[in-house]
Amino acid sequence: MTEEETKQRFDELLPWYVNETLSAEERTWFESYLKSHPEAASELRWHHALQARIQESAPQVSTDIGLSKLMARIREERRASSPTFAERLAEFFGVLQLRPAMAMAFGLIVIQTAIIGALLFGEWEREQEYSAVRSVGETLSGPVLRVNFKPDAKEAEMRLLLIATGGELIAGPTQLGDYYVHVPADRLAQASNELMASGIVEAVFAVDHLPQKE
Amino acid sequence: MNVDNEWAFGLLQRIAEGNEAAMREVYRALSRRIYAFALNQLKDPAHAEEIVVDTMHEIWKYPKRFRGEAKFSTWVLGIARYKILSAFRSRDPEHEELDEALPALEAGAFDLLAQKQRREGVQRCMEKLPDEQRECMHWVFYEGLSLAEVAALQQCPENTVKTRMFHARQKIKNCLRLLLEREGSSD
Repeated sequence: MTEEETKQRFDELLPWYVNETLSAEERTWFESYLKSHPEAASELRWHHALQARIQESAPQVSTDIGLSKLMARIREERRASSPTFAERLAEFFGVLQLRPAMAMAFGLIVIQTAIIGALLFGEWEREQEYSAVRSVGETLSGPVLRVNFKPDAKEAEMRLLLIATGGELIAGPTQLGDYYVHVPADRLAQASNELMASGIVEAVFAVDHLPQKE
Repeated sequence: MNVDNEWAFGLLQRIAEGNEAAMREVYRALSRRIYAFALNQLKDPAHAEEIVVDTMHEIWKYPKRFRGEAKFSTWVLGIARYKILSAFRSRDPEHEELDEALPALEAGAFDLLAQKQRREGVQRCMEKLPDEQRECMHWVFYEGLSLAEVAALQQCPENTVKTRMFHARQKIKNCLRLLLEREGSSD
């Protein structure tokens, strides 16, 4: 390597010797050059001073500079990207690749299925209730009302009436159409009056006990 | 603050899950460095702040783009560089060209220059450099990047970086000499 090439290599490596990112081999070469060329030390010192001045000129700003703007942007994007219910519904049907009319038909089928299912389940539950009622023995004590409903009384009306009076159907219907309703002792008179005033009850009697199992 | 890749990956994972606290942590670790670079390039504090926000927003949107092939800080500064190039950097028609062609400094003159040059003078001379040379000087002396890292950031061969650094330093030396001579003559 000529003296000129050696000087050129020194010049090239100088900035990276100053910022300490030379490889070990390069650093060795550079320091060997410095030893054999003492006049190069002043140039090295100038570069160190230059680096110091550049680093001193770092802008004195808070680390939060612009942070509030970024967070506002993020939150705005989040708000904008939250879909409304209508959009989610549209997306659901879109996933199924249904046309609007088909989507509506599909929706109706779903709703009808849900209703039919609920009715069937309700029927099953009522069957369970009737069996439970019929199997109750005569061990229950306390005031009991024997209720006879009018022939045209609907089941839904009967159930609603019992709920309204606070009564609990504990037996019946018997072969004679008797229903036995347990009511709290302090409501006996009031429950009787409410049942008679309902318009679907034919007769109400307070009894001491339930009849024997039929 | 030590901004190593392991630290970064942990936070980026949380950012990917929408964690704002993690985003704030990354932001505070790197905002000043991004701002310093943007200001070095754009010379406008408002634009520099915008670059910080835009760069960090990019990280928020695409945290999984960082693969660990470079240092996290270098990757982030690369995004900032791209934002600057895309949005703001333009040729300054009144850009003053610094002269390189002055006699070489003697050994003693270097020491004198080193003692007398002040931060303001260096800043003024840096501002007069062409964009790529000023950018190079920032990467090397402010960020402490290696030759390979600067070449990767500037997307050019290492020899090009060496050439830019050579010319930049020559211009700064001469600029500072002239400044000090003017100061000396006005005393």
